[in-house]
Amino acid sequence: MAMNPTAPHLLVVDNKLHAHIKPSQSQGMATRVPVKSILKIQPKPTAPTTTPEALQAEKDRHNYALALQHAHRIQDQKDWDLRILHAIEVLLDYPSSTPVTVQEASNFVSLVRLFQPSDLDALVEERVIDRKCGYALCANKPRCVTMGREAEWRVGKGEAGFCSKVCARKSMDVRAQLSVVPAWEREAGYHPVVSLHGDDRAVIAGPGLNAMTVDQQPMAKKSNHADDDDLALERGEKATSFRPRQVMTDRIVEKAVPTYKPLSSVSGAVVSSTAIEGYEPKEHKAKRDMTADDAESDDDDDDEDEGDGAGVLDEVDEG
Amino acid sequence: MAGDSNEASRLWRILRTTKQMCYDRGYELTEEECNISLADFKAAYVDESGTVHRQRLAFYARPTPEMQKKYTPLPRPGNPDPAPDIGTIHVDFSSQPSVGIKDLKAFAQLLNEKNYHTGIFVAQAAPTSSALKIIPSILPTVMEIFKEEDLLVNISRHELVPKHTLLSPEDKKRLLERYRLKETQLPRIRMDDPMARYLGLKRGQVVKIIRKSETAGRYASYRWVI
Repeated sequence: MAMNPTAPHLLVVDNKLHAHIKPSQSQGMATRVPVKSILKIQPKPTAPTTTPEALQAEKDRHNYALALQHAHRIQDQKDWDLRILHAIEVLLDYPSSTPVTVQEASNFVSLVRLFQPSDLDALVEERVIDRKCGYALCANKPRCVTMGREAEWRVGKGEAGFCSKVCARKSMDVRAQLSVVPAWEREAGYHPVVSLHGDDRAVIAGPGLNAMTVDQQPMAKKSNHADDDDLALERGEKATSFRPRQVMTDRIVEKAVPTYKPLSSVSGAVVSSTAIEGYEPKEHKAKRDMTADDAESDDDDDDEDEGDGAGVLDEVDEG
Repeated sequence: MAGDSNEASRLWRILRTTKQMCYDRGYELTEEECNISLADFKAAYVDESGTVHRQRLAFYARPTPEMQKKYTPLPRPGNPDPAPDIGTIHVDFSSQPSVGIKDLKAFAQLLNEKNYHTGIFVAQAAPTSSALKIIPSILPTVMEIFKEEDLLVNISRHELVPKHTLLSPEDKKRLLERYRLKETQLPRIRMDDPMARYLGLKRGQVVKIIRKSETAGRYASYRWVI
């Protein structure tokens, strides 16, 4: 507590100015609140990290955390790899019975969502080595077994691993729906919803099966023509927008087109000789006086050669 | 018939190379086993129809005490008497032209049942990439894959390939101390190098390479396996 020489009644305590309250001054006045300094309080520095050991320890901690982060990422990738390998092993043995069971079909869809297209190719390859059709839900033998060694050049490399064109087509359908992004890099839980080919959908939506997942269309809605509601949704119409039925209907009514005939063909019509397609050009009084002195002006010869009918062009040049 | 004898002599060479490889690694195999002649091979493995069944070529071998010493890690305070990290090896020849997950899984199961430590799978064609993913999942059992055509000729017997010897952990420690080196400062050899695969090397091991030198007759170099 230092006495401030200039203002002895003020005390400087801890960088703050306090009014030194003299007991004599406090008569009749309420006790004053100490005046706060307008200076900002500097934060005290934390444990000093200037020693080289502390700095090194800091760096080591940071590096350790970074290395751990990368290690976790790599381990996650390995776990996903193993998971996909396990899925391939399971699907290698499908189907266990000739008419595909609903359980197996839905299992197939749920396992295949995790795949990349290359993983599906690996599955087809493994199944072919095991002498089964490449499509997981088919129990037939592939072409390379039924046809022998000529299969590849007779049906092509893409179809040699399947029992028929249908199976090859179905497998291509599934492959096209898979995401190229590997499973460990996808956003949390964002795996594409895979729907099977039309023929197999009937397997999944079997009789009396109430629990159906989103990717399976109920049989009632299946039709060859697009739904009106679906089309409206695609167009972006909301319930508040105009009702399509009033504007767009199935019936088409031809609009009565009014036919136009030239005026001259109508009987009793008076057609002026100076009219251009029915338009009567007007000549201004002021312009008419100027046309007399126009001999030296550098108008186009064409304009001067034209007769009265080209009065408009004369006016344009002089303007 | 000519095709069969071709096949038979191919398999004879492959079997010889495989046995020599196991002998060079340090497993217990006799000299005449490793250098079996074509006539003996045909007598033993070719049946009446002239074909060789690859399943009959499979064999197993135990490690010698010297080899066990090379694979025993150094004693540490928590582990004063460590066990050697080596055991019986089983060599199998695949009869399928293409190798998939199922074949390698069956081989892995066989190794597991009989408690073999290492397995060598000799395939006619390279296995599928998804099948190769099984290998890291069955550790500590080690499974190595070789292609038949890679084993037709024993590369370590080639005149341009110097002699590679595996160092025991003590020798490695002594080497690093003598030259005051860190592991990373040694020259390196990759795990998928043909000679590294021949000797079945793992990460962290050091091989001593003795090659002929014009000036000094012989020169020893060392390589760290990564």
